[in-house]
Parts: sequence; structure tokens; C-alpha cells
Amino acid sequence: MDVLTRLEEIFLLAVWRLGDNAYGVTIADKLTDTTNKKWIMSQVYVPLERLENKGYLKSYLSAPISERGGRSKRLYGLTEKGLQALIEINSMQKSLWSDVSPAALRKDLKNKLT
Amino acid sequence: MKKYNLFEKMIKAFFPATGETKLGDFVECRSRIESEKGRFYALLWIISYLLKSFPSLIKSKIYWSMVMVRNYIKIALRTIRSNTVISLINIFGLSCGIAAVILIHHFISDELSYDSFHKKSNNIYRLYTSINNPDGSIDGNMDTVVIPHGPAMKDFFPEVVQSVRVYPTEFIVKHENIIESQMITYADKNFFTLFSFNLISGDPESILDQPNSLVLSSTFAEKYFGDNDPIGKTITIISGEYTNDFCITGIAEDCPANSTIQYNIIIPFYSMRLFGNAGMLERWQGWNGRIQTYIEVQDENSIAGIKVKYHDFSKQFYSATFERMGGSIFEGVESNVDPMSFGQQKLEDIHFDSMIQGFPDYTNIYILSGIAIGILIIACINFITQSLGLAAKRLIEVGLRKVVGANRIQLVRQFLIESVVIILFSGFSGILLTITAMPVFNELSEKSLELSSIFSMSSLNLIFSLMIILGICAGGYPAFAISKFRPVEILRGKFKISRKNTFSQILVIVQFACSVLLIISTLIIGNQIDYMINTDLGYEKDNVVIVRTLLNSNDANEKFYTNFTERIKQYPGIVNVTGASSALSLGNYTDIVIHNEKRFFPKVVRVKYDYFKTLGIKLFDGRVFSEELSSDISGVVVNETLIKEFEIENPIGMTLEGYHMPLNIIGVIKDIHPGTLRRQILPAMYIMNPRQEIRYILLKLEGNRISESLEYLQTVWQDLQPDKPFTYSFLDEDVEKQYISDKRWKSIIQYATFFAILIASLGIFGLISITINRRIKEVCIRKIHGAKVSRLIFLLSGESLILVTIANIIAWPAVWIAMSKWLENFAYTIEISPLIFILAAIITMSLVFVTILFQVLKAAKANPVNSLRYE
Repeated sequence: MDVLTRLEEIFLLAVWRLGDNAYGVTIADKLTDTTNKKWIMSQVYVPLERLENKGYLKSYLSAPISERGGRSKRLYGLTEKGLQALIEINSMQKSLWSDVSPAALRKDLKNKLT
Repeated sequence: MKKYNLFEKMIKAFFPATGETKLGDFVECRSRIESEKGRFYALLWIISYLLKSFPSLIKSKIYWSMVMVRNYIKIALRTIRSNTVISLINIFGLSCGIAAVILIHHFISDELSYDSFHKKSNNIYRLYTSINNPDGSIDGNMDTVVIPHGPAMKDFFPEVVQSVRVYPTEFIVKHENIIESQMITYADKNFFTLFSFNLISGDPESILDQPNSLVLSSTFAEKYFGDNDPIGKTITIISGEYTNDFCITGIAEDCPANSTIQYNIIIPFYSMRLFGNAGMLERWQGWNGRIQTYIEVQDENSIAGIKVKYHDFSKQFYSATFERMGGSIFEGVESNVDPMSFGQQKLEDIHFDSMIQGFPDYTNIYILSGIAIGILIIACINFITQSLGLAAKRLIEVGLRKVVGANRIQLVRQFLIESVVIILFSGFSGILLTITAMPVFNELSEKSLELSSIFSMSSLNLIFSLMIILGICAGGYPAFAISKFRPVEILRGKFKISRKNTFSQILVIVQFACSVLLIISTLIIGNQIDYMINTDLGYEKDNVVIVRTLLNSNDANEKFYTNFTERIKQYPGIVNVTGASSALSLGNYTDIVIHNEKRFFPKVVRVKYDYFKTLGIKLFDGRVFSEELSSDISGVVVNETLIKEFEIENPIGMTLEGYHMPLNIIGVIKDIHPGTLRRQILPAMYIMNPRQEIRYILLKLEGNRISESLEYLQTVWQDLQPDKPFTYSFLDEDVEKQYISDKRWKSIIQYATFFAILIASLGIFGLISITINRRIKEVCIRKIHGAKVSRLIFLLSGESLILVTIANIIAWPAVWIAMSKWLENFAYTIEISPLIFILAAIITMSLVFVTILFQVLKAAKANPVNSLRYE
């Protein structure tokens, strides 16, 4: 299986966290919170569709809601493949960072600055 | 249909890919913001969203429309390739049209730019004199005024700032070992301050101050001095027995081609005194058409001011002249009209109205524009016809595109783009064609347009707009027509292009009418010009040499004539010799003769007794001068026209008063054409009285010894006048020179006709292929039922031949009117023979027939099975 890119990882995690409530608006908000950058809806649509094409996500339409002018929401959820990918990336992350501590990194940075 | 509110509509417009769900997301987001932070903030949010997406919106719109354009261009190229012949024909036709427009546009803008380069051109006027009848009507205009008129105006009218007189004449120039006859221009010393001719060296204010100063044009500076600096050096100018040295004070840039004032060498106006013409400077009568007077006025209101005071001016300066000029006509007649009045012509109008008819003559420009537009129209018509014809092959494609979702606008765009592709090709080859044709065009139009001017801003503008206009006009109609097809009918195979193709038929008629017009015009113009060149002029012009004496005074000329003729009389190659004060078209002199209280302006020529014999002029009545009779010196020989105009019943023996001396009419000659056949023959008087000098010696030479005889004459001349060049011309060449511009027009019209016919044949070629395609089934069915090939040929060509006939019928009256108008320019014309019209009809018909023959034969012989197969 291919390794997930950073961006894909962020997206899949956001969708997982949102559970049943993952659609354009909410995903954009969640990403804004997580990455401290302002995400707008137009920015998330294309990555979401790409992830769906790759098989990590699946989408389905909800029931129409009157607030949205009678339109349905397109909700996204993780597939089996997506979850697998997340698990893999998590273990890879752990092994990558196993012997690295934030404190050591910061000490190194201070040495460089002086 | 769902109704979208404003917000939703905007989102959909700005984010084209928005489906329903995404729209829903937007709606939700917006209502959330509205509830959290209020409507105003929501509005701001929307606007910022839309603005941020604007650039990529534009990019994506462009990209998506371009995507289709790539396809259109591919299909366009494919179409061109699969219909090579017809497409090439189209491209050729259009490029002819474009080339014609470019060349003619240059011609016209050059013509219109004449004299516009002078900075003061708005306030410069040329003076002219009008000859009046007592009733106030104008008898005629002269494009000159007497010599002192200009400076007198400057003193008299405050509105006149300065005046300049320009007088080109021919003298002999001598410098080191060059001795030749050249054009010398007398000019007042403020020549370079009034006109914007640039000086390469010298100060414009003072350059002609010294009486012996001289200004050379840069070509002539190089010619006489090579690379050396001419300033301060000397050039000798000789006229008759006057020889003067001039000191070069400046060099001027060559005068531009689009200037009516041309110069090579300029000397101060008052140096006329140095050549024995001091008396002319203060004379208030005597008009020499070569002396032109220009004035500069203060502003555009000055002319009105001048007009009011002109009568006082005439009274002050012209009263003596009017007394003499008026003669018995104005005597005793109460008239508030002066015998002459004066006017001024704007500098820029001179080029189009040099003879002051009172209105500019733009005929040339109209004709040329007409030709250019005609060729362009014919080419466009071809293009449209053939596009429509090719449409038949593309029915399935159009049907399919519509089915797959193209709307009308997209189809129109597709076909417009195809047209644009073809037009781009035509534009490119049009420019190539222009470059190729430029030398020929320059020769025909007597201009020297340069390649660089094709690529100037205004020219490129023109080409560009032309192509756009062509694209819309020529491409628009087919585009709209083709996109109208209904896909269902096409794909079901039931679709038939309407059999009525009236539009195409009308187009073809227009094309052929233009061609017929041009063919007939060419023939008529050709006939007229040939007539003029070959008609019997009333005298024998072959092998006649005219030698100029280059002497001024009567004595010198007489002596020279006697000596010269003595020496050459015995030479075998010379048949006859005589002398005159003017030689047919050269050096004419018109004077006023009053007869029966009416004023006439006959030509007066002083001749030697054997003038008529040398030129082979025939007698009508009486006799010519005889060497023996000394009384002949007060005799006059007149021509038929004079008798008719003067209304004399029995001319022989009658005395003509009303000239400077009484003259006894001893003979009447048959009329001759001294100049071109454009002008009426004027009344003429031939006298032996030595009031005028013999300046021309006319020699009739033997035809097979001309060069020997000329050599001999040259040696005799060298003997008698070694310091002057032997200047001669052939009479028949002089006559032909007058028709140069007419011959040019003949060439131009011939070329135009050639192209028009070419393009029209291409047009009929296209039309017949459409017709055949359309009727192929009908033809095959007829074949099956036993029709003969000849019958089929008749059937298919019938339509075209009828169209050509109609075209002819339409064109004939138009050409008749146009040609009659043109022939009015000539005093002596041919009759327009109906044979020409019939000839044109035959030519066009045969042309059509030949063009379509091949295609029709092919269709008539085709195997019916092939076209009926899919029924």
C-alpha cells in the first residue's frame, strides 16, 4: 500500500474524528482548528474527491434539509482501506519518532542559535 | 425548475462546478455566519469569497473555452485538407482581395497626403486668375497671376503674411565637364521659410538673399560634386546668350514625392534680371502658366477679409491691364464685373484640381477604391457560396454535435473559427502577394511605395480590421446557416438542403455582373486609347525630329536658323527642314483676338514658309506661304476651326483685324490635332510675322538613316553652338508621351479585369460543384431511365448559363453609363459598338461553360449505383 501524504493524513483524521458529521462545512472547520490555517470549503472539495477516487473515503447523500434550501449534504466516511492506511501511518510515525524527544530537538535548536 | 435566489445564483456563476450539495454547504455556512455575526458580516464574507475566486474563475473559463477551440481548429484544418482544391481557391481569392485593398489603401493615402507635410499648409494658398464675361459668368481660369501680384498683395492686405513665387524653367547647367539642360527653379528668397522643405546646410532665412546664390537638392549635390562639399563652389547657368555664375549657398533635402512643388536647383527669383527678363518683373499683364504664386495668410478668417477688399486691389493695380484686356467687349457695357477676378486655392487641394475647375477631381481615387472593393466582394461571395456548398458534406457532423449537447452559439463559434482560420491564411498570403505585386504596382501608379510602409502601424491596423470584418461578413452567414440544421432530420437521413438556393444565385449574378462590367470597360478603354494613339492626327509625325535652338532673341534665332539650314539642306538623310515658334505640343502660345466684337483665344504660331510641307499638313482652301511672295509676311494661314468659330464665310482674301497687326487670310488648312485627343481642336493662326522667335527647328528625316542623320546634325550643332548641348526629341515620341497616363489606366484595368474574371470563374466552379452534389441523385435516376450524356450536360449547365445571361443584362446599362461618362473626358472618341457587349457576353458564357465542363462530364458519366446506394 502507498504511504499517505501529510495532507491526506490530516484529511482522513479529520473525517474520522467527525464521525457521522463529516461534510464540507464541518471538515473545513475541523481542519482550520487542527492546522491553525484558515481553510475554506472550496479548498476541501477537490482533495476529498481525490481521496474518494483512491478508495480511502466513501461518500453518501443525506436526507434533504430545509435549512439548506432543501438540498442534501454529501457526507464522507472512512473505508476499510482508509482505516488501514491510518493505522499503518500511525505505526510508521511511532517508529520514526521513537527515539526522538521534543526536548532534545529544542536543545539542538538553541545550540544552533547561539 | 428550481428557483435560485440571488446568492445562490452568484455562487453558481462564480463557481461553475457547483452541484447541489456544494451549494447547500454554502447556504448553510452563510446562514451560520449570518446568525453568528449578522447580515453585514455575512455580506462581507460572500464578497471576499467571490473576489478570492475571481482569478481562477477567469482562468478556468478561458481554459474551458479554449479546449473546444483546439478541437475547432483541428477540424478546420482537417476540412481544409480534405477539400484542398476549393479551400485553396477560397484562400487565393481572399488574398487577392486583401492585397488589392492594401495596395490601393496605400495609393489613396499617398494621394491624399500630397503637400500635407508643410507645417503651415493650412494657411498656404495658391493664387489664380479668372477671366470673366460681362454678365459675371467665368470664361476660364488660369492657375497663375502676373508676377508683381503676390508681393503687392503682401503690402496691400494685412491678412497676407508673405508671398512666394515659384517658377520652374529649363536652362543649361555647366559645371566642370558636365553641360546639360536641367530644370532650374526660380524662387523668392523666403521659399524655405514658407514651405517646410528641409535644408541640410544653410540658413533658411538668408539662403537666397544674395542675387547669385543657388541651392542644390542633395541628389544634385552628389551628382555634380560627389563627396565634396559644394558650399561656396560655383555653377554656371546659361540661357540663350546670357551666361551667369552662381555660388552655392546651401543644400536642401530632395523634395518628397508627394509634393506638387518639385525642385532640383533653386535660384533667387530676381536673378531673372541676369537672364534678360528684367522687364517681366514689373509687368501687370502677360500670364505664364509655369509661374506659381503662393501666399501665407494669418488664419482661416483671413480669406473672407481678403475677398472683401479684392475689388479695391484690382482697381489700384489692374486698371491699365483691364482697359487693354477688356477690349470692345467690356466697352460701352455697363458691368459691375471686372474683366478679371482673382482667387486662391488651398495648398492641399492643388493636387486634385490643378486646373482650377473649382472642384477637386477624385475620379482616380473612386475608380481604384471601386476596383478594390469589387475584387473583395467577389472573393467574399465565393467564400460564402463555397462554405454553403461544403455544408452538405458536414451534415452528419453538425447533427452529431447537436445531439451530444452543443448549443447554437457553440456551433456558430465553431464555424466562425473555421472561417477565421481560412482568413488568417488568406491574410498571410495576401501580404505575400502584396510584396510580390509591389514593383508592378509602383510602375502602374507612378509612385514609389516601400515595403516598410506595409508594416507600419496604420497599415497593420487596416489589415487586422479587414480580416475581422471579412471573418464576420464572409464567415457569419455560413456559420448561421449551417448551425440551423436540425439533428433529428439529419441523422434520420431525411434531411435535404433546400433546393432553392436563391442567395447563392444572386451572389453569382453579382460576381458575373462585375466581371462583365470590367471586361467591357477594358475593351472600350483599350479601343479608345488605341484610337487616340493610332488616329490620323492630320500631319505626319513619323521620323520628325524637333531641335530646340536654345536661343532667346529674335536676331540670334534668325541667324542660327539660316546658318543651320544652309549646312544641312544638302544632306541626303534630311528630307525637309522648317522652323516654328512652337512645335505642336511644345511651347504653345495663346493670344487674344477680337473679331466681330467677340473675344477669341486662338493659338498663334510663327512659322517658316515650308512648315506645312514638312509636316505634311493638308490644305482645305487657298494656299500656304510661298517663299517668293514677300507680301506673305502680313499673311496668315488659319485652320478650319477658326473659320467655324469666327463665323467667316469667305475666308480667302479677308483681313483679320483684332490682332496686334492686320492679317490677310491666304489659306485654310485642315484641322490637325496638336496635342492629345482629349482636347478640342482650338482655332489656330500661322503667321510669318517675326513677332515671335523661331525656337524650334523641325526636320523630316529619311526613315532608314535616322541615326546617321542625327550624328550629322550633332556635328553641325557643335560647330555653330559649341557651348550648348544638342537638344532634340522625336515628334512621335512626344505625342506618345501624352498618352502615358491613359496607357497606365489601361494596364490597371486590364489587371483588375484579369483578377475579377479569375475569381469569378472560381466562383462558378464552386457553385456548380454544389449544384451537382445536390442534384446527383436526380442525375443518376435520369441516367437509369436512359438520358443521354449530352442531355444531362444541358440540364446541369442550364442554371449557370441563365445566371450569366441575367448578369450580362444587368451589367450592360451600368457599363454604358459609366463608359459614356468616362468618354466625356475626351473631345474625340470612338463610338461604343454593341459588338463589344455581345463579345463580353460570349466571353463570359464560354468561360462558364469551360469551367463547369469537367465537373459536369464527370457527374454525367458517374455510375448511378454509387449515389443511389443509400436510398
